[in-house]
Amino acid sequence: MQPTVKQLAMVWAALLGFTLVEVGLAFPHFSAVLFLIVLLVLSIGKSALIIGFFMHLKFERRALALTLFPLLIVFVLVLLALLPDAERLREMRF
Amino acid sequence: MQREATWEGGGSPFAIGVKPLGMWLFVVSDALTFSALLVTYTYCRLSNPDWPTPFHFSPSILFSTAMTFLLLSSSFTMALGVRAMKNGRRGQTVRMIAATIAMGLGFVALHLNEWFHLMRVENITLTGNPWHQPLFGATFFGLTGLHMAHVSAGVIYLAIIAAGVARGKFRAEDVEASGLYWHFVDLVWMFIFPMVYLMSVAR
Repeated sequence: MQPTVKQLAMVWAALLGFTLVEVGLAFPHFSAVLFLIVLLVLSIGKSALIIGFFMHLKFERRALALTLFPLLIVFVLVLLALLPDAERLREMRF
Repeated sequence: MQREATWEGGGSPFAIGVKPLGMWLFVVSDALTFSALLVTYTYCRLSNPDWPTPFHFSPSILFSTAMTFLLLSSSFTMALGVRAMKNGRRGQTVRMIAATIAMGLGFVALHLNEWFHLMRVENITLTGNPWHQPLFGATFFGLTGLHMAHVSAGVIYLAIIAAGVARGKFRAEDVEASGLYWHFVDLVWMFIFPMVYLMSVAR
């Protein structure tokens, strides 16, 4: 089983649309942390579309995703746990 | 007597070719590298209120948005190429991979242009910049340079695959594995573009 051309075209259009939203949000002034969270959510959404349809993981056996991704997710979460420390460092320094 | 437990899951538990499976494993391990670099960049960015914001709408954001569109479109043509190969249409596969390569080269050209603009106009180098934040150049050029190296390697990889497919060599799983690599390169840029460029827009 594989994605149809129509599905691939819709994913492509959605990815371009999400990118325009990101660029549009870059110019009004938000706090760095809030903007970072919004961008991360949009990026994760775009990644899910790329992995699911372009890399057709959605059409593979679930065992593949369950083997590959838990490690990556735990690794990224551990890394992200460091980011609040960056804010603390900023306050300590200045 | 207790029998030793052995796995009897069969020879192909994922029902996927060995080459795409190998590429998936590579992609996940490479994702760990890029994750660490992205978090390093973001950590430096958040912990420093004087972090440079050199990316003006024109040319930096305009060019990086165009680069994003090129990579997304190249992923689309690559997905169409993989699909064509699975359906046995070698000619269409070669055309789609050629379009992917052209957009990959466009990405590299725009990115180099962006780098030279930052170096010549904004005076940003690997170790120095007018904001006196040397970590900016180190993390920016390190991260985007590693990504550009991946795109360049991907262009060469795809050219080899396209030439082979045109001569009747390679099977669908070879094209599929190269497609996984290319989509991964696209995927990484989906994080670099917002985290690096959009987070540091000049106001």
